[in-house]
Amino acid sequence: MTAKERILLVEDNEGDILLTLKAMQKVNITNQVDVVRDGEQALDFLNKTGVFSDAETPGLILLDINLPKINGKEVLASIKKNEKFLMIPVIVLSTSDAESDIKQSYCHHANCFITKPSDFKDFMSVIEHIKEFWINIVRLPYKKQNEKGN
Amino acid sequence: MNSIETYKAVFDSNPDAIVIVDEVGAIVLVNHQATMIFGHTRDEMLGQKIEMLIPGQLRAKHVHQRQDYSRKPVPRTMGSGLDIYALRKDGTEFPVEISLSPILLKNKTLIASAIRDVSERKEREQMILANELKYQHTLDHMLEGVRILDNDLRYLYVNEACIAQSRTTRENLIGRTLMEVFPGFENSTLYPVFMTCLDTGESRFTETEFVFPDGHKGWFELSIQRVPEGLFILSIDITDRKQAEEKMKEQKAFTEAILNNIPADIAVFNKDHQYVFLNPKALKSEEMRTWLIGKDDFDYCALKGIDEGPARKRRELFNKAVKEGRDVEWVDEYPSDDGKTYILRRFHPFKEDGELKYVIGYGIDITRTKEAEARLKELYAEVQAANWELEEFAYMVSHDLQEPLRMVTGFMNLLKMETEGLLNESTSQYIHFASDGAVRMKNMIEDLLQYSRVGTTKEDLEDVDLDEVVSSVTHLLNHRIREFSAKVEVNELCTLKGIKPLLTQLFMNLLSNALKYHGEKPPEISIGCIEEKDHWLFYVKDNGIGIDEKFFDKIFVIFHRLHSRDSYTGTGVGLAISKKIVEKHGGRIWVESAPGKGSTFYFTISKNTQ
Repeated sequence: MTAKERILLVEDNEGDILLTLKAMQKVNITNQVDVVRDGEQALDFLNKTGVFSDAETPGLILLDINLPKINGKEVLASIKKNEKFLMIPVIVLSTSDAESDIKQSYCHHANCFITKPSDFKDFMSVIEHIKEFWINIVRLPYKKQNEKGN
Repeated sequence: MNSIETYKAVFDSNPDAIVIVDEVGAIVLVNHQATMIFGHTRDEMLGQKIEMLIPGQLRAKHVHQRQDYSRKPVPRTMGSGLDIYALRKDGTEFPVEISLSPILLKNKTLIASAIRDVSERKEREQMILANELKYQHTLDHMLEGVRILDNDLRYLYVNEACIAQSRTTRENLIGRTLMEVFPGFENSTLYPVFMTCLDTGESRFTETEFVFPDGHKGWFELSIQRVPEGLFILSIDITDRKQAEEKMKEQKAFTEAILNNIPADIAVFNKDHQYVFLNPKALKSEEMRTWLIGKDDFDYCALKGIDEGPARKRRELFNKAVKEGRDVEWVDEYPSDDGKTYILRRFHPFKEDGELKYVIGYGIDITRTKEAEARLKELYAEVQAANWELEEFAYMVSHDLQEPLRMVTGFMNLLKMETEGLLNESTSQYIHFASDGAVRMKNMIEDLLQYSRVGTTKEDLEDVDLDEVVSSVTHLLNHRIREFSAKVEVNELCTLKGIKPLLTQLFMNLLSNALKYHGEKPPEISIGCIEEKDHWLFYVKDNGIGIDEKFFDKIFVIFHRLHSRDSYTGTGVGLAISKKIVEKHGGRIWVESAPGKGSTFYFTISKNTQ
């Protein structure tokens, strides 16, 4: 089994975190998933500051738009302005289907924007598609840390 | 010449004819003039009886008269006033005047008669008399009343017009005085006028209102002339003219009262833009108003030493009104104590027989209207802001409601999946109801979001080709059209200014309703539009189940449903959204229908959507 990229899930809602993780489990995503609960934590995680000094740079980021403290769009903007992180694909996962949210996300170079379906089966199907495309097909920039050691 | 010849010459040259007769009436001597007027020669007359010169029917009488005279002969001069006629040789008669003088000789008495032919004078007299009659006839029939009064103001003559004007009879006038005919005349204003004329002989001309004994009043124009008999008075009845004048005066006073009290500036100009009239509202000072007549705004500016700018602007507007022959309107702004005063002004070209006669300038103070308008605009903006806030609120709420609802549906789904086969029938039914409720709530929230988005959309107006819109809608609904074997007839639509996504949604809603609420027969739907003066009228007609009249209003209320969820799906937002879309386009929507008879949805779209 080849080394898997780590996935960073930025989501404040515990329910959504659980649902996302459940969906991932159900569609057999085996990558390591790190979860942070607001924009500030997300940036700390990426910068490996504070409690996240041991964090590993993810190969894919799932980002909710509605976040406390620093909102998702700001997190997205920060990532895409930072040379170290701008190559990490960011999938914006949002309950919003507002055109302004969609446009703004792409303006900040989101790699794709997905409106979360409220039906769990539909949601699972979305996660499955993410797995098919972003994990199975796409070559991601960052591999698991231990790969370097190999 | 001896004395006999001298006498003879005098005798013969006398201009009167002289015939001398003896006591028995025989002619003894005639002069030359006698032969001239009678046509007889001297010889024919001498020795003949004087009666030969008298017309036959008078001869016998004359013999008597002659004999009487011979007995008491006294000289008698001409001009006795008697009409006497003489007889010519040729048998014609002619008027004469005769003087007689006895000539007493020693032994006998001769009688000399001097005879003068007065035919010419008589003729003249006849002519004068005829003339007088003619003039009297003229007087009698003059349209003016004529009366001749003596010095005591007694009627001597009245013509027919005078009788009519006096409202009485000839008998009641002639021989009676003015005071008798019109009791109290001596106290009237005319009395002193008449008396003065009698005294001084000066002619008078006067206009007077005369009150008759029966109370009737009339206006007369009198011309009073002193004549030898007393007064000659000519009168014209001017009652009608006076009444017309009075009426005109009244009319003028009425018009002036209106013009002077109307709360509007009124100025009338001639075609050269000079003032012909101004009412006090237009210019307070009467002195200035009088001064301005015949002058223009530039004269006024020069007098007051004020800027000519406004006058130039008005001249332009005036010329425009005259040139185009129609009303020109504008609003003038003036600073006032508490802000601004607005005057709505108008030039109205006034034509008579197709020719420009005047230009009437109106000015109405519309400050209050303007203020009200501004206030209304403010209020409208406030209402709009409030409305927008409300819609924004609805949007936010429905948006935020989605989050927790996602949790409910998400975990209900998860629960269902993970407990599959572990629960009994009733517990799995509980889960079913819970998740079904959540799904419905989700649909409602989505509809609410859509509904509020109609109000908050900031899309710009564009030219929307509705034929294209409807064809895209039918394309989208194609599978359902085929599913129901529906016939959709689209008549030619139009292109109008609107918000394309909203109009697409509108047709989508109406067409899907028409498909959804079909009856037993396959749906037949027709869509079309009719152009009206300031809007387009659209219809979407179906042959479906129809709607009871009592629900005509309710169907447009959000979340109002007529059917159970089992028979027809949906939250009841489609028509509410449709109504909002139509209203946003300055139109209205309504339905005509009856149960089982199909429905026709009508809506209008304004041609001036903003």
